[in-house]
Amino acid sequence: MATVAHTAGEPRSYSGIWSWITTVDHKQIGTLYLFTALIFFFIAGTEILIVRSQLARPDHGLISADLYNQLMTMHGISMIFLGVMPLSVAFFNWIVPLQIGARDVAFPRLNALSYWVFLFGGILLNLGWFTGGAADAGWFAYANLTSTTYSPGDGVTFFALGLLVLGVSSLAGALNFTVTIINMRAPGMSLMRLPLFTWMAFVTGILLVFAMPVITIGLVEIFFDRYLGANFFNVAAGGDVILWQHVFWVFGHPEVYILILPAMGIVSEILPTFSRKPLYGYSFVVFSGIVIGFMGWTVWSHHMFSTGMGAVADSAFTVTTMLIAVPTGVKIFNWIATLWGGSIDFKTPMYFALGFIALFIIGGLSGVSHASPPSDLQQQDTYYIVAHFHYVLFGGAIFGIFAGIYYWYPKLLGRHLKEGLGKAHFWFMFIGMNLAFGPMHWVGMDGMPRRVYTYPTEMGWDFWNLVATVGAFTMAISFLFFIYNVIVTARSKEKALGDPWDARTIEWSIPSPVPHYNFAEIPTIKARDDWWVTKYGPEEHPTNESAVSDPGNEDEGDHHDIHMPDPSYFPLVSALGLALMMGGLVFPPFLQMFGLDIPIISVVGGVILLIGTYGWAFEPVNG
Amino acid sequence: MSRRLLLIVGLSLLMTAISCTPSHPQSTFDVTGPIASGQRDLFSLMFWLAAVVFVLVEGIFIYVIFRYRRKGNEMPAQHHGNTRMEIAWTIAPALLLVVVMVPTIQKIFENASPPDNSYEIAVIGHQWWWEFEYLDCGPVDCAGLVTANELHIPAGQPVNFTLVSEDVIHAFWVPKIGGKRDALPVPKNSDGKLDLVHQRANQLWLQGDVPGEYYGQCAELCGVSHANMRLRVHVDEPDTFAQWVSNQKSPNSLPSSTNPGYEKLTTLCAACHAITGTTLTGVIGPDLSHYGNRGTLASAMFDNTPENLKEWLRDPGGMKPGNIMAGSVKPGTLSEEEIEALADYLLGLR
Repeated sequence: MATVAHTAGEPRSYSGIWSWITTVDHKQIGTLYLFTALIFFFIAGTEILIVRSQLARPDHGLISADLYNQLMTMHGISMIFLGVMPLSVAFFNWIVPLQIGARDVAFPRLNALSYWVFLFGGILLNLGWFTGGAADAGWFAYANLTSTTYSPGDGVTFFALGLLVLGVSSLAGALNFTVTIINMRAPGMSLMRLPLFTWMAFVTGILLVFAMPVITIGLVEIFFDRYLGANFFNVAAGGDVILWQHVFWVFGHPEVYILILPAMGIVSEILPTFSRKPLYGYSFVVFSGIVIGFMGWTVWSHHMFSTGMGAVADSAFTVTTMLIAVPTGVKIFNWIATLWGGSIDFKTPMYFALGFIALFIIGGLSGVSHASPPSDLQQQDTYYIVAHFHYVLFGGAIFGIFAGIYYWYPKLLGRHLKEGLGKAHFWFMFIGMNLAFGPMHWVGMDGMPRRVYTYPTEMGWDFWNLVATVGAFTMAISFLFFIYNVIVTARSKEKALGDPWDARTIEWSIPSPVPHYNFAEIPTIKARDDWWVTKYGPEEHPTNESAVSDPGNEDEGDHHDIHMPDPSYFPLVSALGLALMMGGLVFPPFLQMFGLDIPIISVVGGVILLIGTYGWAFEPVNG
Repeated sequence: MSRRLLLIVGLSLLMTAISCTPSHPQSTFDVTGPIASGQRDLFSLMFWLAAVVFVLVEGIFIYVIFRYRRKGNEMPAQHHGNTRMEIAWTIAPALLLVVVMVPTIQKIFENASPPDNSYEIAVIGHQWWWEFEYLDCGPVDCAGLVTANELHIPAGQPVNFTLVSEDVIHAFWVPKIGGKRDALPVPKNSDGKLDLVHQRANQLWLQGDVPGEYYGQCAELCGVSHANMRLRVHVDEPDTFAQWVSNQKSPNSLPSSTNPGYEKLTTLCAACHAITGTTLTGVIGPDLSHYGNRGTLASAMFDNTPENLKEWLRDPGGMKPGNIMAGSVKPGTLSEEEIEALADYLLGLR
């Protein structure tokens, strides 16, 4: 690349805005993912604060019914596709190559493409806000509410196009990490020595590879119905609205595990580190993760008990759904057994990891009560369900993700987030979360449906809705502590050590922040928890004298012999082309030709995509 | 210790007080009839089992994190696991789940088909109101009776509902009588009526045992006024029900006065609304036969008072977002004199 002067084969130090635009380095891409996803996460959080303000009082007129539906829909979509998923991907990027002893992912430029497509897809998804209204049919967008008859604005079109674009990002990322984990492990890193986080990233990758095509088909159907007048979901023309629900949930339920498995992986790393004990029942935790991933495909219709599938189907999905609680339980028991007899150090990451366990148990137990259709028919589409999935997705996934942020921040960014602010963040988030979602169990069982923009006072839901709103704002405050923490940390001069937590896996055996080339020398893996064994030996009763010194925070200097992938801006060009091509389908100008409306912006986008992929394919390799 | 106990008892009492003082018209606990109580009992079983598991697991968890907190710089033994423990905590939850699974599947099949003596009522969801068409009430001659938003059923009598939708997916839900079921859109037959025997036409049977007025509402997001798509179910004594049916089937009459409001009734209103015995036969909006007997207005959004009704006739769009009546009745469409006359007439339909 002409833009970065260097001698052949020399790993360069990268800085400045141009380095971020052209980066193919998994750590930088991970950082981009993290901060972009956090911004989307805060936008989605703000959306729900407005919704909670509306629901704080009965018959409240703060926002219109129409705006409520948009905010509620975009909150759900954004949290899932622009918040939790990319936050997990941020950790795949940051951690997976480090944990398997690799210098980068298998396809570094594809990795950059995933990020840029994610960024543009996220923007595309939100464009409805600026063109007369965002998507308003709920995050699972049940047909035929998504048809042009019932959702005439462009919001649902942007929903379909945005998710189609994001699907490219997820699929490319999933393939990339699956291949990376299979092919790029350091010598000796057998599958059963893989750190748990990498294992769960592996399972998640496989789930994504199979799940994304399913939702893609559904979204194409929605789009064809809206854009080309197809009749997939047009009942009058023989279409079927239940088709969408099956397609959506065949994707949607594995998606739930796509959201939670990475967080489970993170927690499975943090608990052993801060208990100074290996993960209890490693192989059982691994296999329960695999079993969850597999069984996640067999339970989708438990989202559809109210659609009238019949007694046999209802019973079958009851059995599979209840069974999936077993491997989930196995994980929880093993986590508690890991703590048992340990030496628990209460650092901020550990707070969040322990919060994860405490809250996930609640979400898991409430889940059983809607695995039973007769009971579920009173809970389906009520706030009880909202409570349940926020205990697993907020109490679970988000707590796990923040545990991971506090845990790996020093490793990747070279500085510690402040402990005091971190703990304040935890307590506000923990208390706020229980205030917000705890009472929803009650109002749901008291008959409050979800997705209602208002409720009359005679229903008796006033008090607990007010409490829930107070809880939501308490959580909002907790994130102010986090943002402040990030700012303070960025200004601080204190550098992190290489192994500040006395951890167990090999990413802690190298300096913090991680040098560009990760490992000066590719390690040879001798054991599970290899870094711990290096420090303390394989004994069951080790002394607490470490055999090696801390890897420190100094880059060891030039390693001219290390070949690293070259930076490239073609992923960005290609991603931009793809997004323009898709988004242009909605925007004028259109050119009348051959009796067709040719969308000019899409054509331009297609040309850019072509240039991007051409340049990519023929990009000269330096070194 | 006793102080803490007192605090806990006090707090729980406070919470119970807060939860119990206002009325709870859509509670799934305070229910009537075999369907809702069966569903509640199953939930209770799971709740108490879950409560035991919760106390046990969270208890152990909290014990462990306090008991094993790091005091100095101690180095614990590096235990890697125990296969027997793994087998134990795989099997124990599985057994517990079987305890839930068996009654669940029993209940699924029990609730699947309605008793032979069930009455038959079709429920048709519209954006955003409910249409009820009585098909068969055994000894009571109800066939052909159409009403909207307020359903009457006799106490102690199983009723089988056929659920369909005119437009998008709705879900019919009266929590105190039973769990919800979706009303899915179905195509129309050649006679222009929705196909009630289509494969997507759902069945749900319910039974209310204690007479009274029960609240319900749509449970599936169905567009802008989803929150306003409510309904009431009147569980009547069998005699009262029979009287209601015969009254409902008796013709209404148009007033003979020459007030200009009545002209609007037979022109503007007749396009969408029907009133039995009159020239109003529209099928787009709710049937208004014997409207004066209804307790609510605009699919159970408001009490059916003269003030609310007049306000509705003045500006329906302002009272219920998105409703299609607002397309033809805007503020100013009807004069105050016409509104007065129409409200008088409608409330007089008894």
